[in-house]
Amino acid sequence: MRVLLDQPEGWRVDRKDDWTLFSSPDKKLHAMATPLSTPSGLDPRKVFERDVAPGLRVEYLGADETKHTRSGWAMTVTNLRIVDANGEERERRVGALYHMLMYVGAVVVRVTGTPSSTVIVERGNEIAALLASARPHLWSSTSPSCVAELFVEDP
Amino acid sequence: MIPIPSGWTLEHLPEAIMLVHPRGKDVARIHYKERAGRPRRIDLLAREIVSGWPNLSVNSFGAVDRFVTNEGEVAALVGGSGTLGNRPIQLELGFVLTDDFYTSSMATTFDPSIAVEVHGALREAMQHDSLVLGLRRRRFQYLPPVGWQPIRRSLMVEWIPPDYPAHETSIVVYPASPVSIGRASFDGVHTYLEGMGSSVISVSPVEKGTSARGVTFEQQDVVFQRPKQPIRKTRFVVMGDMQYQYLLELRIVTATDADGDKAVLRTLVDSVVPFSPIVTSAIQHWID
Repeated sequence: MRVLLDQPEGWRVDRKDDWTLFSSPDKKLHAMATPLSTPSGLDPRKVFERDVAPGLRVEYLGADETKHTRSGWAMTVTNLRIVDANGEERERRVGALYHMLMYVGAVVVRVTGTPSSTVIVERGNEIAALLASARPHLWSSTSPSCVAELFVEDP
Repeated sequence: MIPIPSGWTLEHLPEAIMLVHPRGKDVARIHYKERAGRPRRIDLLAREIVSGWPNLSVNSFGAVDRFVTNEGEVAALVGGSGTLGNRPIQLELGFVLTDDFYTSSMATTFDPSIAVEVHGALREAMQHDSLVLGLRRRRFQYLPPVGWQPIRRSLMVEWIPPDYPAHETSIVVYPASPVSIGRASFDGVHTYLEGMGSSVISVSPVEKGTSARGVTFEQQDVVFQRPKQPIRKTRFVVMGDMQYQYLLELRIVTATDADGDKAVLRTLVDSVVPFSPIVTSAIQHWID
């Protein structure tokens, strides 16, 4: 089970188990969507701070808990940035935490174009649309809910 | 338990058996394990078995042959070619899948001239796999609504549309229920709703029909409301044959596209595959 996002045109998508990686054609935006889990099974900060290089630190810029996806799932959007020891900004990130039925899932978008503070403004609508497209994918290869799931790869 | 194909012999293994071709195990053999584990997607099971078998390498798998055993259990057979050690082989992986476990068969053929014969022997044996699970609450075959997502609730499943929860509708598919334990009735549904504190606002006449696969059904629309909750409209569908009832519900809270939802339900109803009468082979006692 995983968080499903619309695939923007031209973006590359790679899936490994229930983790999904999206990359924009210009490589300035990278998004990672997590599997769905029970609330105790997901630490969103670990997702948002994933792969931060040693020597860099994370600064949280704010969170909005009032958001919803396009289809109505509750969504908390968190903005953060990665800075170096001199306080220079290296990367911006936008994280989303979703509550979908009895599960939670997360998406983190990494803005790696430079300067990322400019890119995140320029591509804000694109990022917002991507995060708002989230919905649950509940098909399971290991716990089929119907006979069809025994035979069909993720539709 | 699968029957022993005519002329084949049996060897016991730890928690499994090996059936040996009349010309010997270096020509062809079938490994069989009853209750091999929890059922999962066929391709995953196939990959697990292949990866766990010493010195086995598979080049590719063919299409899955999906069928139903004489006892009405879902079965699948998939063939491929590969090597065992450095010997080329034809491989057949067979699964009989119940709600709780699967049986696993693996036919290994070293002589390509008898591959068709071995395939036939395995398929025939699987067709007669005697699990004797009988009439029981169980999942049944149907086509899931396209694009909808399944919420698993034990043997029951609730399907939600792609734009849920904005489109607050779901289709509930209950496990098939043997008629021997009683038949569901719409009066029973009304009593249940009222017993749960709901007010039944309106009830449509019972409509009768026959699905595309010839299963008769009755359906009724009930509008009800629980205290301090939105009004709900539910279409109850009771399908049935001599052995089983197949119960479904279309639950509508937000009538974004009620006609569309009813059409989705009808498509699902038409796809329901009823169980054939069970034919159990006489219990085969494996004789050494």
